[in-house]
Amino acid sequence: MSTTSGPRLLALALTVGFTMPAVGGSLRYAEDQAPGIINPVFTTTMSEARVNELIFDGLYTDNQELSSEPALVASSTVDEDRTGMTLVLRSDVYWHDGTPFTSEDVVFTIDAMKDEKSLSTEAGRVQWIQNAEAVDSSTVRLVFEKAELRPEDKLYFKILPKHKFESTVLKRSDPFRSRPLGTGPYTLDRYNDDNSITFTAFEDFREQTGIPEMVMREVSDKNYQAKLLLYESLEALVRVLPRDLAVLQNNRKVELYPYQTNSWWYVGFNLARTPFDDPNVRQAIASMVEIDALLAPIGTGEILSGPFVKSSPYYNHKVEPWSYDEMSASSLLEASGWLREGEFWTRDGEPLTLTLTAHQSVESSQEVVINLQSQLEAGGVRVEVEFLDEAAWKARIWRERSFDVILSQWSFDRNEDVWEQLHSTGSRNFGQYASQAVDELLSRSRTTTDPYEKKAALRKVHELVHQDAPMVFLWTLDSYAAMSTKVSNVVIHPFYFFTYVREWRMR
Amino acid sequence: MLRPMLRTISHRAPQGLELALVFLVGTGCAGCGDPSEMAYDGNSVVLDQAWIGQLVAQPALFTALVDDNRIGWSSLHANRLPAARLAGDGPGARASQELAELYGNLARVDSLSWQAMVETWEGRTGLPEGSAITWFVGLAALEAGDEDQARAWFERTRSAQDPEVAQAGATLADSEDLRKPLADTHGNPLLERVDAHFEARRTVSLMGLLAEGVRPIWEETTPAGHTRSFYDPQLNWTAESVLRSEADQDSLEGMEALVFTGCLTSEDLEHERDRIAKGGGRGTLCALAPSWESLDVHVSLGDTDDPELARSIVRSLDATVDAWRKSRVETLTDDGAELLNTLNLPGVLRSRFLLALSRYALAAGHPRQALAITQMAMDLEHPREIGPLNPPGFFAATAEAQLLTGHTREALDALQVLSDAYPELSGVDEVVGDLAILQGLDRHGDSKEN
Repeated sequence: MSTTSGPRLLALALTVGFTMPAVGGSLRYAEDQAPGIINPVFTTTMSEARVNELIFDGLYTDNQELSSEPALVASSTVDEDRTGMTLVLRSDVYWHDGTPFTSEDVVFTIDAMKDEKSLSTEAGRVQWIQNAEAVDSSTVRLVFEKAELRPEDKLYFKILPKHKFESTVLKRSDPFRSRPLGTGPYTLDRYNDDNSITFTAFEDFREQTGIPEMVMREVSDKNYQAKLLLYESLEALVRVLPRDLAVLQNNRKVELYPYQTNSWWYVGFNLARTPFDDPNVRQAIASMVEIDALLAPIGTGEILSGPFVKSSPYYNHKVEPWSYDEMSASSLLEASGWLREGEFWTRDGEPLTLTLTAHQSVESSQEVVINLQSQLEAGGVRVEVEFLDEAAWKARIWRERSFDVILSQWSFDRNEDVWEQLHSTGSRNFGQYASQAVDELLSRSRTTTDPYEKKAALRKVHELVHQDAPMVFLWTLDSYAAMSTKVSNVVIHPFYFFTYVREWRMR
Repeated sequence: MLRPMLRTISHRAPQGLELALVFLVGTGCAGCGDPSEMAYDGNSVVLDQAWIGQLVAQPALFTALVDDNRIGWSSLHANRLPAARLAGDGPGARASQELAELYGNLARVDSLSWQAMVETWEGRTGLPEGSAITWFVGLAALEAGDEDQARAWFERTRSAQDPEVAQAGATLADSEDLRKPLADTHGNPLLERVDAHFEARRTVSLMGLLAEGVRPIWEETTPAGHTRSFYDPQLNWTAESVLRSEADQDSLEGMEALVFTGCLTSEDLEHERDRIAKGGGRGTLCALAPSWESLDVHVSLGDTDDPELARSIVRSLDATVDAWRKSRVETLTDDGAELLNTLNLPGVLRSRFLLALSRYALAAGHPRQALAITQMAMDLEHPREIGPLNPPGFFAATAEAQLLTGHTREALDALQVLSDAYPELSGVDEVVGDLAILQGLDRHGDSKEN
């Protein structure tokens, strides 16, 4: 952990401490990046997903054993042929404005997610539902595209209030994004002057909530996050950098909670742009990267060779990560007609140039970008760097796919489904990678009922994607949350984090 | 009154140690503090008289202890158990015992996973017709002690597609006593493997079985053209059995038996050996050591699986050990302080006690408590490494606790650390991974940035 301190830290600690005193059981937690939008239909980041857990409910949720249990559902019946399901909803659920929750809300949410004009990033989660119908105010009838063995396992998406929208065509710019309304344990109470957001326990929530107030504060500098926790100006950090773990562990006022987000960092190429459509160029760039050196400032992590973390059943241990190999990079570029003339590789007199784009909010990624720029320039690539804010990132990367090369990270739940990232039609396939073999394997991995076949298919995907190099896979970091010992009864969901927050207590 | 702990160690001039222990060269006992001359509070007295207190007060005792088997002791300290086992003597016996616990833990994880996997698969679509999987789950059930289940699986294996698998199934289904060595293996590789396990246990020799654990022992091709690979479900059970027989730990006495354990005194050790001999739960040695109680570290896990209670025990332990460390560090000689800090003896004591405690929680049917304990115990300076403060048993106990609480995918994180260090454990990784895949087959994966 950095030993940086002084006026800036003191000022920050005082600011946080003074504007959000931890009285009366308020839990203040830090995020690297505040949610850009609070609407589950458009959720793209982990910080947004975590806020969704506070505000919204799904029809089903994970219990602490990670099995599906009803949340908004009172009872359900699956048709004998398993192609349909009837859900009876709970009668004691209210929206945060006091409006009763009904079957119309469920049908509306499914229709809105399916509506192509909504451009929902979560549309894939309801494609298996052919039709949703409100039988009466508390009964929903779902018809599936095909037989489903355990449909409740797919009914986790969050439900929206129909009465807050005009039609099923949802827009990111809907005012709902900053004034969300859910049925979950917390209401969004206010945005504070210091960029924090206060959530207050919903009085009409169907179960008792242990902590009356939650405050989310954006602190992009991880050094400050750790220090604010140690100064008792925060009660929780959702994710600690590995380099800070030992210091926090040795502080007896802090407890660390491991949880598993299967997360990896990567450098992604835009294959729709020349010269990144050439696998030789991508592989050459991969061979110029010293991943160890990029990782060092962050701490320890595991270097990866493919789109899964090492403990994943899908990780192909026979595939070695890319490693620095100047000769190999030269051979690959020469084979594609590039010449090393002076400082840079050139072709037709033009230097090999790329713009490396990253999100500005996470300071640790800025460090990686600068070091990566330096490594690639040493390898003969001219690199420009740009950092985008949240709005620009969503516009340029998610929607327009306008970039050369990005540095980013993906987090996966325990299913580690990389279909959206790697399938040619995937909604998160920013680089527009298209491989028929990979598409077929991904499709097979989704339809097979044999775990051995799924494992084999995805290990093959790992191998093919490593070789095609639409991304240079970098590393995974251990995920630990840090909590003040004032917080008790803490159980963390391995992906959504706050799923069991209503059971947390403040000592 | 505490009895002297150094029964088997002769007091001779120290000859120095290697590597991490080299700082002790020539320390002798000059300047060693006599614990009885120092001013203590109650807790300090107990810890001063414990192995940790004696060693840091009199570093020469440590030098004398480790001098005959430096590799063994340094390996035991670093939790390099296979190396310590090979080094023999006291550290060898201690390492064999700890390895037996490790393999036993993983054997349970393996069998639990096999059972859960076939139940889940049967419940979804039914097991694939004619697959050898029934043979392997039968062996897993047999090793876990469920002979009726095992027989039922072997009966089903009669109809396996592969003739050798079918023959193996029929042979065990027809066997009158599944615990007796086979009369004839018929040249069948599956039966020969079963026979090899009988032989290993009889001769108390692993005979290369561990080396073979790194690869599948059977593969079959499905109609869709993919391969199902099966690892040996008997491996960890045999390893546990052989290593437990090999370890004659109870014959060790004094500091040789006590150093680097979670017990504080020889009396603790004696108490714990008696408890375990009366069925107190293997692997839990030192979990209920009476000295901890006298330090206000109350090892009562309660009737419910409450992780907060487990966390409070760890907090009391930390408060006690931290306070002692702080109070002692200024009174020790340079050699004592270096021993305390370089080998991080308080950390070692803490980790070994918490390992025993986590196993005790598992044995009590409290996996959430076990998990809370291992999570708090883990040395996060090196979170994915086995080392002096991270015994391999932490990872095994974590995996078992995760599995028992439904966190199958999370169990793989701990198992991966183990299979990096112990490649023969790959089979456990695979079967837990298969279970995790099955449990998620009906789910939509979710992914987000950051």
